[in-house]
Amino acid sequence: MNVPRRRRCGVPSASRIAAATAAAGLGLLTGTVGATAATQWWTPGPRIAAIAIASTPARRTLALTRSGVLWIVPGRNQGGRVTLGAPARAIAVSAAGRGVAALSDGTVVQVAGDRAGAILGVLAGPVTALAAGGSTTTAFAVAATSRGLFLLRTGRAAERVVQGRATTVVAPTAHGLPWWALVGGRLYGSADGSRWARARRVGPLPPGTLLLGELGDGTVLAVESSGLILASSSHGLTPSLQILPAGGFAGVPRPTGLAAVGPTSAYLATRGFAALLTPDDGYDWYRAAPSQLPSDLEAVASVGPVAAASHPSGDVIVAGPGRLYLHRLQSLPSPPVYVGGSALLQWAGIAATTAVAILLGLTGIVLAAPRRGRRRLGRLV
Amino acid sequence: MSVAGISRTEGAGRGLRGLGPLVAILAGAALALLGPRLFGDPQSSDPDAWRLAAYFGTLWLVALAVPRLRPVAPLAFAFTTLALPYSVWTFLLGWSAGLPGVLGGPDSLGRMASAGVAEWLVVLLMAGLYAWRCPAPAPALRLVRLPSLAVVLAGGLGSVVFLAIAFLLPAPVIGREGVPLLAFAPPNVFAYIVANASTAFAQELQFRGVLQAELERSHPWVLAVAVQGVVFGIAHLAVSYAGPAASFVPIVIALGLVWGLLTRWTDSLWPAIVIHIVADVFITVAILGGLYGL
Repeated sequence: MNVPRRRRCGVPSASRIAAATAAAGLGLLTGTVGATAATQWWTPGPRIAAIAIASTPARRTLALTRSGVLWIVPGRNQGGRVTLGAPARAIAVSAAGRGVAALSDGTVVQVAGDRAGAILGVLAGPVTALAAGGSTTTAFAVAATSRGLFLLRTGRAAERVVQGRATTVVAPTAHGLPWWALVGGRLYGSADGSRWARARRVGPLPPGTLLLGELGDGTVLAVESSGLILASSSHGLTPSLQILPAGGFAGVPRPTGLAAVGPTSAYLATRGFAALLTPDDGYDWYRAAPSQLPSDLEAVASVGPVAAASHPSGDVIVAGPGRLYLHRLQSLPSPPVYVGGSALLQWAGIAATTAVAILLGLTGIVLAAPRRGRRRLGRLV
Repeated sequence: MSVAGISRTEGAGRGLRGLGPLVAILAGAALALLGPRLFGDPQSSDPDAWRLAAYFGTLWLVALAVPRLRPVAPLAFAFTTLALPYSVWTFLLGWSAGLPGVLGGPDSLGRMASAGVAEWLVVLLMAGLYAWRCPAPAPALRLVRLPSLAVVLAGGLGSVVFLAIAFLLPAPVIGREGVPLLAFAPPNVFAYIVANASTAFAQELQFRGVLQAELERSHPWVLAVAVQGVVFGIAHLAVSYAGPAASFVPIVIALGLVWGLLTRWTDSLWPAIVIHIVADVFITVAILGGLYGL
């Protein structure tokens, strides 16, 4: 006679147990989602909507916003506004800490304190990029415009040093390194910013390619419009990182700046992927705590003796929409290393813990394993 | 007593009942793994994988020796199959002496690939031993059956679906911001593919093969799939996804559940192996290293 099976009250079905196991596993671990935020990599800084920040080994730097130019000192809550007389298009700070700004009317001026200083030169076209050099008393600038690369010095006429459409110019990150510029799709280098020569072993670069910056050991990084990042090597510019589409129908995020940190390290700011970090000349790339930053960054800069130092001290500043974020570079203390008696104790502890775990596991199994009772055997055989 | 101590005659009909032994084994494993981290030296080579292998292996040997515990032996052996090959992998990866130069230096790509191959050979050996000596009901490893059209389709379509989801999701969610081309230039990329393929094969045979098969012998299949999926995720948390990458573990658990179901539905391990290899290669190539290390 077929007797319909009754479900026993209070006994969960296998599927319920399975669902509970899976839910417990997933739920237990959702708490780890915030693990990225556990350590504070980036500290929210002043509410400044910067679109460019200058990197410098000095202790303060310039930030360009839509409403003007500001001196910023990492750690201070607000910037010191600079009165320039006309809107600025590009800024730079020399290794000696002297600021330079290119204004919308083509004038390139030194920034002295809270106002415009000596005029370095006047250019016909708009300046697309600016780099500064010189000593603590006098500054000079190299400006990229659609008509060429220009050298600008106080009391002298602007000198076109390379003819062609110049898009980017980069000052040396450390003493003894060359200047770099991209003119007419070609890479140019210079020892002092005044005499320029086309870089050997580097062919013409695709339209839309921009120089990102120079690392402390002289490696140059550039980015093509496709999101392909190139790094200089003995063979010329070699593909280093292909940035992938952001997801869905979004395109490839665009790098917006690079700041050298130590001889072979650099932070890359992107519009879409927050900040990325390479510790080894572009060989490996890491995410720099994306959960602590907005995904769209407009600029990145290093401030302080950072780029060439083996133990950099200073700050990395990134500009999000409406706010700066700071990362203070510091040497971390090494974790303790156990030696001698301490190491022996550690190994003894590991062995003891493992032995206790084995005993616990065995005890649990003994308690849980099927007993050899008559009734049990009868059911099982 | 048989080689594996899980002979067909001795264990016949004594299926493991209840979750008690499973919970007891996992609780002890948690203590063995996490306890020493309270006082361990982070700079020394903490033998966590060997601790687990010793723990599971001892349970298995004791279960063999004590007749009353013999029904637990296959389960302990299944967990030993998870820990011992991984221990061999870590050992070979860092071993600095006595290995031929062709295998590369410690922690090199060549060493990673050769350690991966050695790992899946050990897994294959242990899985074969398990399938050969396990008592009735016989476990279903689902490895040797010739792939049917459904299996081929499941592997191919599953890989395409995985990649499609990976590209449609916002990149930061799964950390696939870019491909570091210098690191993956030939011949490095071949070493990465060999290393990932061998590890993926080994993990499928460990989790969806031996562990799921063992759990299915004595528990409802839904429970077997769920438990192996959770253990798969927690094992990743234990061995490699520490720090910020811990947030990736729920995704690993979900993948483990999906691959477990796929193995069950197609009655073959191969779709999961193929998708796992594709996923591992994609993750290694397209996910920035920072997801794992910093």
